[in-house]
Amino acid sequence: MTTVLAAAGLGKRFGKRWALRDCTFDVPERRVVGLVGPNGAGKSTLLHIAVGLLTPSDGRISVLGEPPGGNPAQLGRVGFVAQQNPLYPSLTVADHLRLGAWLNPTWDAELAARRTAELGLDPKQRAGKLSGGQHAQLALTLAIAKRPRLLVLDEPVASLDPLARHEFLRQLMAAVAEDEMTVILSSHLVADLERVCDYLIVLAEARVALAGDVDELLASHWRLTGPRRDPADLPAEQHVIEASHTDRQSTLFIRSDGPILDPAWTVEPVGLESLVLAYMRRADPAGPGRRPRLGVAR
Amino acid sequence: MIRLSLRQFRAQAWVAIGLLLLTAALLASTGPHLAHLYGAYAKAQAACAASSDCGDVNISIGKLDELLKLIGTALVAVPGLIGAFWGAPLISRELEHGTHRLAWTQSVSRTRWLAVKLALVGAASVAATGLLSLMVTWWSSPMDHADMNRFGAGLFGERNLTPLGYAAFGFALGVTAGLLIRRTLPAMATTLAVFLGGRLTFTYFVRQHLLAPAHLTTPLGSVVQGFGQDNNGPPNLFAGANLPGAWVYSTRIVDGSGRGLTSQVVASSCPALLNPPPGNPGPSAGRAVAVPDGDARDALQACVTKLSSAYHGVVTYQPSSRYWILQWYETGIFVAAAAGLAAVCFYVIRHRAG
Repeated sequence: MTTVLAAAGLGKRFGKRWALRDCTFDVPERRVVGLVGPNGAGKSTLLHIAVGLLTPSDGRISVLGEPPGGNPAQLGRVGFVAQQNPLYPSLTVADHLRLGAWLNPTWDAELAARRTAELGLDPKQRAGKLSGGQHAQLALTLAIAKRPRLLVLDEPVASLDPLARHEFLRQLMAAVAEDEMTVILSSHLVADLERVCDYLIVLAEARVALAGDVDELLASHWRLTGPRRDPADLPAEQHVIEASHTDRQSTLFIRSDGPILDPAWTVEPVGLESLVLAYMRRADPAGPGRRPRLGVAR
Repeated sequence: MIRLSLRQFRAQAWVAIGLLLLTAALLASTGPHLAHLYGAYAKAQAACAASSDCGDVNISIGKLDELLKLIGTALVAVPGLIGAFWGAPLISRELEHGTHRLAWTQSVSRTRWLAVKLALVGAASVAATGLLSLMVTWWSSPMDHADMNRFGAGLFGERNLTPLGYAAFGFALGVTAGLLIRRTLPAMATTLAVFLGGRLTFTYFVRQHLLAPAHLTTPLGSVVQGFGQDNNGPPNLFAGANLPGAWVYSTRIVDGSGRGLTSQVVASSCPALLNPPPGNPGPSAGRAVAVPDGDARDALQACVTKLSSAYHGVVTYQPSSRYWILQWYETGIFVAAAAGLAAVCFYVIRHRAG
């Protein structure tokens, strides 16, 4: 397995605040990686470091074997669509395709032309006048047509309506299927990622709470329901992620690589969303339920 | 990268080209007439100087020419406006729209991105201002020649080379402000304010120290221009230098040991000046230099003759031959400041932002 991105002890500080801290994980090749976490967890910071827009304050990161953003060739191997899919509002669709060709020696003009035609984008239309969905698709086209080995998308569908969201992800998957690309895309909604990702990284409170293959994660996490008991009594290979108790009953959310043999438990598989939420809650320093979910914006 | 920068600069470039063409048309159509007018004026002045019964010759130019003179004055503002409208948005607009994240993740290094933008739009700024300066200098040359005041605080910065230096500085200032402030409007306002402050400070406090002035010692007779009171101060002799085209800092009347001429000395040496014979108005108040007539003129003459053994005039000035040295000097300083600001931009874009 080749590693596309390797982070070790990665951290980024803005003033006194750590936006990202002590992140260690690897992204294997040819995967679609979902980066999920609540707003402010450090997703954008991590992605900006990966594409070379930010330099880390701490630790090391290597992308395709090199430090990110170090030289034009390295920049060319990584495609990036930033949050809100920024484009030049006064430049036309055709201008943007020209821009891509001027700035990238690896530009695939044929691919760009074909994609814009398929999307029904008018070359003379200014980017500022495009609909949200078209805007996002054009930004994606720019990133894909430079034929990157790693494609990084920061909240690509956050601003889209459900229909455009679906269409965007469909197009993305079609492009991935054609190419030998690794994709990292972030979202604060697990539902967006569930359909497309086969690898998951959960960021919470500036740290990596979970990273792994989606199938493996789903195959190793269980919800156990049974008579009330102390979670400390569980076999050593069963790790409790979350526990809740009523007077008579315990519900445990556990990770276990082996089978669960205790007949007292009712064993259920868990969905990706509840899995992610459990890890996020565990990472919350204020503890589950103790932190107000709604705050007053000042 | 060059083609992208050109594409992004296209609209602004067309506006500048349009304005330059309009200015060129206006100045080219009125320039020859103005030159003709001033030619006639020079001839009339020469004739007046030769004749004995001619006081002075006046010239009046048309309303349109008066209006066009304002283009020269506007040249003061052009580098500041370039800084605000070309410099400040250059990076801050990208930062505001987030498009820097698009630009900086293409296969072009950030340093090269900045270098191309700075070079291209910076060159356009200097070229546009240079062309305007060339036109204005050409158009107003007959006027400037007649006024002999090209070192004037305003005029020095509105002709020839200096506007080019200001343009480079204004542009670099705008880019730097945009990069540091990261928002277009505040960056534009800051650029205008800092540019104005820098220009005024340089004009009124720095320029006179660029070169050590020359000193000219002359006989008293050649510097005394009249007698009177300066703002109700004690009556004294007025001194002034007649050095065509020079930048005169001061003209003083001093004795052998460098002490200035006091009104007491004048009063005791030349009582006739202070007590004019009846029928002749005394010294007038205010700075208006009296060019006295008749008896008063004789009295002044006598006074100068009497004092000239002990006193002489000292003129501190920049000779007119230093005009171009000063032009190059000032331009060079502003270009160097622009280069310094550009270096700041490169540093910031490499180490911060994102």
